Amino acid sequence: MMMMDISREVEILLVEDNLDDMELTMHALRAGKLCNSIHVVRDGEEALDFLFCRGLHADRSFDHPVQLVLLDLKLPKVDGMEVLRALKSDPRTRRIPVIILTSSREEKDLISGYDLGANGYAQKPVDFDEFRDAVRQLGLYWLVVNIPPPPVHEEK
Amino acid sequence: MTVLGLQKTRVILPSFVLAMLVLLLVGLAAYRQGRRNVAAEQWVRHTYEVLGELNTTFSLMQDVETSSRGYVLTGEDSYLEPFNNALQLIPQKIHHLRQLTADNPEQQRRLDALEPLISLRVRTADANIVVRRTRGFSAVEPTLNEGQGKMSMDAIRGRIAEFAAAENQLLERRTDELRVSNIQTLALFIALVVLLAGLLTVTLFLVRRNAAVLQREFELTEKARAYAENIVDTVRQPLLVLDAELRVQSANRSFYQVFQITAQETEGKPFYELGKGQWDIPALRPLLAEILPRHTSFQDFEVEQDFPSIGRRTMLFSARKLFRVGNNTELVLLAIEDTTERKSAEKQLQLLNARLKEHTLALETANLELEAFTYSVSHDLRAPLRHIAGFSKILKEDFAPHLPAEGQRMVERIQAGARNAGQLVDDLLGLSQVGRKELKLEIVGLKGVVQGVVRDLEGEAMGREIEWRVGELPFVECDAALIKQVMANLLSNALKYTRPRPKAVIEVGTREQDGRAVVYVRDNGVGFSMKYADKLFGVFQRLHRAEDFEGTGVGLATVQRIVHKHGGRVWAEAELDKGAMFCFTLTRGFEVEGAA
Repeated sequence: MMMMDISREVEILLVEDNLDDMELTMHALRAGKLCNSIHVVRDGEEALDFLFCRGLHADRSFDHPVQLVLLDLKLPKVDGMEVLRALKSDPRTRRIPVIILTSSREEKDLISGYDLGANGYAQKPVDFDEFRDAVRQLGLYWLVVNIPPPPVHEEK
Repeated sequence: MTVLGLQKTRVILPSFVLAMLVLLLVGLAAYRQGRRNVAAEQWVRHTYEVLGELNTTFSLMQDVETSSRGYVLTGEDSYLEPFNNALQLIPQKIHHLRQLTADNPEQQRRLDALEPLISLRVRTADANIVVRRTRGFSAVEPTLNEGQGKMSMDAIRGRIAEFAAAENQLLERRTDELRVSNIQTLALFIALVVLLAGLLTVTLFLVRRNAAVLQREFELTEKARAYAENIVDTVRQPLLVLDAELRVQSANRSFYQVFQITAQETEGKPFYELGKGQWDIPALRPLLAEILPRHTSFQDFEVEQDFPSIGRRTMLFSARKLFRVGNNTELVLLAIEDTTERKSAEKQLQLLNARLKEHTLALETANLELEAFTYSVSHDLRAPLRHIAGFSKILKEDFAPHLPAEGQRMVERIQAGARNAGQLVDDLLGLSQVGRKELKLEIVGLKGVVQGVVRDLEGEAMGREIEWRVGELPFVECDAALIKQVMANLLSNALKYTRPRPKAVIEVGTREQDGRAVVYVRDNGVGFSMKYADKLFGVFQRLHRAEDFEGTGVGLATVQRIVHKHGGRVWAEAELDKGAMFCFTLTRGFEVEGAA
């Protein structure tokens, strides 16, 4: 699902299958004035297509990587951990910061998330104020404070 | 036989040989001594014979003398009889004497000298007799008066005396020799008697000692036999001893008990005919038949057999050859193990094991399901709650102007409900995680834990007057994160239920009870009635209304689960409106270093 004009540089990729969660997250990002360039994908397969510039997203280029991936774990088709593994094991994508944003606080999820190279892990709080605050801080840190890795140049 | 006995037997044969040798030597000596004795006696007798013959010769010479003189004087022929007799005998005697003294050259010489003297005297006498007869007495008289006869008689007497003296000397020597020989014989005899007595004594001693050894050995053997018999009788396994014809020699008590048969029905009977042939098991026949001729044995040969008295039995047969040392008989030892019960027990056990495996599998499945359930609760149940909370919040914020006051209140209620439900889910997840988590044991200072928790609670305690009394607490081997959760739950409870007090006093300390360190948390809060003490640690169990004291009823359940996981115990003492005290022990290492 495209929220933005594809030609513009995407800063945040939100991988989220749940419409409610998607809307609440977008709401929170909007509240934090961070919704300029968000792309939302609804399953793991689409996320990989987007990030690896293939399929529907073949016109994308590795020259313009996203600055942040907000990754839900429980996803249709390819789950979040698989997306993370593919991302972090490919030299073209492994520098992209990935934050796991999920309902789960299971230890095994935390461990495998970090083991696979996630850059952060956040649990979606039930309280909306807290949630909004968390999303705002995340966006602020990764898009404003953090200096992103240089793009990987690769011949298509 | 004992080693001692064996040694004795080894000594006996050489001793016997030695004794025989000594006896033989002594016997030989006695024989030789006897012969010497006989010889000595013969010599003495010989000498006496010589002397006797000498005497006879001399008296014959006297006869010659006197009878010739008588005839010469009287002229009567009757006087001539002894003369003629002597004339006949004398040469015989001389010849005999020569024979007797043939071994003695000295005596032979003396005889040589004597013989002419005798012949001369005889000739003289004979001449006198002839003269007297032819020419009468007067013709002889001058010859008689010459004394020639007397002179030659004296010479003869002298020679004979000389001969006799030599012979007497010999006699004396030979008598001496005989005496010595006699004494030697006596000594030898005494020695023989002493030796025999000694040998008899030694023999007696040996026989007695051997008898004692034999007796001891017999007793030992007897004891060993009784010992073996006791063992055989005590062995729980039925045992049979069979002879070469497979007749039962003996059976132990267990055999009679297990197969319900008497000794009379068993002993001496052929094995295959026992109990109406119930032991005639075809598979067993070749095995048993081979044991003695081929020196084989077999072990744990399983047989199932129907017994009229005790029903179907599963047995393990083992047999081997026995060798009885005493009379060289060969026997067969047959051991029968009745495994019927064990088999059925094994079957039962297998059944139980299978059932246990099923149960374990079911339990594991249930655990996996539970895990999947809690995971899905954490993910799926929280999500809708979050959505309710989120959207109601947005509704309230973004659409407040369009909502009447009552509507806004309702939205707030929705939000509060969602928050509570979220908290409940989180607490439940915490509780289930405690159950699934493995303990990471380390030595933890409880005082540090309590101080950390008190710091964490500062926000909650803000604006209240609270006195924390944290006493000395022990070092404990436990899971640090879990024990912190216990302390956090207990202290936040204490903080919560002292809220109505103008000044809260919360005390943490340790005391000893039944030799165990007990950690307690005491407050001066609202307390509770001990009537409900048993409900205190149940999940969702609450003793206070939610509007008075918020809470999900999971905290103390979590505390209990953690304490139990450490092998400890948790309990509470309280009085309504007078405060509460929660106590717990942790079995693991509560005595690690005592109070610190």
